Amino acid sequence: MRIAAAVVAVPLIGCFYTDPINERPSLEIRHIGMVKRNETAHFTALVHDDEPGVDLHWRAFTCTADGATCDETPFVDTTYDELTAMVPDQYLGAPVQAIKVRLEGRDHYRAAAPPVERLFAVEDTEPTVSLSSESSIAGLFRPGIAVTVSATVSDLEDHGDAIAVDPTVRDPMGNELELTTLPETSPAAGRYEWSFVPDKAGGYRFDVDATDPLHHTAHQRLTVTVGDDQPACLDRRDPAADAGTLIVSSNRRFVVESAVDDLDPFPDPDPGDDRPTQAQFHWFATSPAGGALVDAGDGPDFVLVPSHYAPGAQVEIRVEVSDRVARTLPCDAAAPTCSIGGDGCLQRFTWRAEIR
Amino acid sequence: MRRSIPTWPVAIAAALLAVACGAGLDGGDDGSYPDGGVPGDGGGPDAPLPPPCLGRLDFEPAQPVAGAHNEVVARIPEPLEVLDWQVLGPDGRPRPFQLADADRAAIRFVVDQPGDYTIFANSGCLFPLAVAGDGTIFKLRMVPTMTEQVPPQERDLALPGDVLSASGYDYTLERGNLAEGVVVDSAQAPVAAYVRATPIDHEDLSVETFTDASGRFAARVLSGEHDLLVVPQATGDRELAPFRIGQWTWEQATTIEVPASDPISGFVEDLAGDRLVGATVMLRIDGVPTTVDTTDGNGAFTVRGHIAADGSPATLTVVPPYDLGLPRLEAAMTVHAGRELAIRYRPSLVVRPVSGVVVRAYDRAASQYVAGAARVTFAGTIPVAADVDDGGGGKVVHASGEVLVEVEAGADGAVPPFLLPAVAGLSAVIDPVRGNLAVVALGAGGAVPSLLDAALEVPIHVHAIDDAEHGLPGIQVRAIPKGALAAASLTVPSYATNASGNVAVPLAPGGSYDLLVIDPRSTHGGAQREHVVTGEAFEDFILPGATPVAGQLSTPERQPVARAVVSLFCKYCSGPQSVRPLVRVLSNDSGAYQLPVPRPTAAPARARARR
Repeated sequence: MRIAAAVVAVPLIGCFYTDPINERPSLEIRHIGMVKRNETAHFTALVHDDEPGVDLHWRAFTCTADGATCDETPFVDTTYDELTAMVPDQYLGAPVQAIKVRLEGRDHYRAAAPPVERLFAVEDTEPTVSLSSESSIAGLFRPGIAVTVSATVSDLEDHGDAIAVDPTVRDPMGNELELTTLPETSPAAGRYEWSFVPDKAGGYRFDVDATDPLHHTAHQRLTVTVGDDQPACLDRRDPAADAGTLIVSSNRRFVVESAVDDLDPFPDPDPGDDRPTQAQFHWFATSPAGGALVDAGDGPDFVLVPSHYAPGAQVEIRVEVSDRVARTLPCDAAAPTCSIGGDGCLQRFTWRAEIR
Repeated sequence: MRRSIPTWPVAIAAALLAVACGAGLDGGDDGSYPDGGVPGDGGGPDAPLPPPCLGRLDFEPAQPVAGAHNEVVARIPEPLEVLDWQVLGPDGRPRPFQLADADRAAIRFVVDQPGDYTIFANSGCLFPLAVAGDGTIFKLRMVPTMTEQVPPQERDLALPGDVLSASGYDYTLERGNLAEGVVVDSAQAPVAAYVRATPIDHEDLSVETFTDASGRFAARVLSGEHDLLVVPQATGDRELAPFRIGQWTWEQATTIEVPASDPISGFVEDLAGDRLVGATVMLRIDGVPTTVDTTDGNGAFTVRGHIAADGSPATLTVVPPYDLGLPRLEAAMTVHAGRELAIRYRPSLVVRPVSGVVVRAYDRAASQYVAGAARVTFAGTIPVAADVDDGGGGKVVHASGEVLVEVEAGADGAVPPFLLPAVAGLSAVIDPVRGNLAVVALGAGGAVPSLLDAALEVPIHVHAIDDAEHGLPGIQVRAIPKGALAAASLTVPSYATNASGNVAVPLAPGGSYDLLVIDPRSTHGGAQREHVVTGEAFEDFILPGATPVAGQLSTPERQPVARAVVSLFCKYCSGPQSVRPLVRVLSNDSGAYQLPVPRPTAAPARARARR
């Protein structure tokens, strides 16, 4: 009996055949990196199937940040194996903050994979700001001289126009100064230029906040150090000899050939540039009537006319130099020379001459 | 089109000095030419052989500029034989000339128009001479820093008219020589003195210094001959006379002994023939000042100077005490040693007291003259105010007089009594505390009106424009006083044109000025107008553009001359432009400089005037 059952069972096993059962595929969405607006995002599919050859269908939708609301119309709809798409900038009038990627697939048995959806947050980077400063004269930062600050603002996702730029400048006391926006400014190009005029020496803090539409803010600070204006110094003079009493017999020009100054040197080292001023000279000479020094005018030279004096007259010819900053010389009126800094930088010089 | 010319100054200098003997001994001419003749038309079978062509002809100035009165001297450096001269102008026509040298080695002629002149010398030897138009020749003065140990020096700078920029104006500055010496008196004691070395023909490049306590001095001077002026300081009762050493060179500066001087004595008499006490007296003998003396109680003075054996040309100056109203005297004369000078004010000259004068200035608000404080200067000249007799039996010399009397009017305009010569030609310069400057010409007899009114100023309107007739802003206009105004030692304010190139320059009514129009940024040339008076209305001052001229300053050792002051002067200008630099720049650390040189144009800086 047992043997008969076994004999029947063996042919039964060999007679039954069935095709393997087709498993439906399953899908995963893969993405490496960040998803950014106005940039290309790239997605790949990880397909789990018993056979190769799953037809994929990608769609992507713009969504609100939490993904609660997404556009019904995909911004991309493709059947390529991979999804490559430019992430839109706006959704519902605001920057896109998330996208939903939906992937569907069918194998060649038309077995459909369960659709998969993933919500990807759209990354937003803060803007970047770089600042530089320059002086309108000779690269020197001095009170009264306009300082130009240039800013370059850029943002990976947002156009320049979309970035709000807020500059402020404060003087060394912390007081906010007025800024002038220069015509070179072009927000679309991310280029800004402002100017301000410092009124005292010290550190001026220039701050710029650049804020993108998603309120990501970048802050940059530039400190402009404004130095004190230096008093002009009398440099070369003619007559150069000054150790004694000059003898003057005919009309004699007394000349300041050069003056050293940070902003107002004389002569102008670059004639024709836009340097507005040069050092100024004021002259005094002993009155022909004798005694006191009297005002003898301005300019780089003074002509002593001996015929205005008696032979043998002792005459003083004095020159004082000034620049754009009004200063009071800290010397007695009778002092033949004067130096504000008490050094070799003279603001006053006096020649002595005898009329012969 | 921009054209750069790297080395042409050297070339033009070479060309001017180069020889261009067209014919020479075998040049095709067969004889000498009489003065004024034409090359090739002289000579015959018996004509003498022409003298040889000369190697060189020097011109002074080397780079002449055309002008109705501009002369050129052409000189053979080494005269060989009797020379025949001829000058042809750019138009090919003969030009008159004069012999400038007794041995016929030099001639003098006028270059009345620009172009190429030809000078014939020695029968057919021809020398070209390029004469530039006005405004193309400049004088470049270079003043290195003291540390450079290079004395100031000058060069001519010629700029052709057709360039918009030029480079290669490189100059090697002479190192000069350190002249060291000691000044002593006859006892070999050190003398404190002022020492001035003036290069011959370059008065502006004088080098001045002083001796120290041991009488020593040192100065870096140019090579070549100088006039050395030594003015000893008066010490106590010892007064040594200034003296000059002519044709001095730096090698001579060893020990300089003050030479013995000649006393020059005399006296001064006032209008009444009384001896004048307290007058200052000085002479300049052949340009060298004497000592100064003040007349004593007897009106006598003694100064010391150096007089040649046969007398020396001199200028006498006498300045009377200020409060006497007498004019200052100047007389050109010949002074002889040992003769006493009698200086007598002319009795015919009347000095009279003036009183009761009130000064008023026009008050715009009140539309009337208002009395007020002022400084008033009376000035003028008297052709003959005194006679000078040296007692030698020769001609009595006339001395001119210069009147300069200053008075101060009080707040009520009243002028305290003062003395003033009663002569024609005097003016009163009124400088009110409130109101504008004015000049009032006094009457024929020098009578001072009881009311001295400073009239309202009348500005002249200056319009500064460029070649394209665009207004030039920021142009500086200076009105430099002349005549009585200049004598009053007034300050010279400057005015700047507005954005349209216009400026109103207030001038003292009755005054005369030289008007100087300057671009302080040196991008344009300047312009000037002499003898400007109020009431003139100017149309335009056209300022020519500037040509950037670049060059390099170096020492003979090829070291750069850094931070030298480089000043450009108009070489042949007159008036203020001749002494004031057109532009002044500094050389950089590499010795390079760039000058904006006023561009020579067919119509150079000029002013058009209309009455």
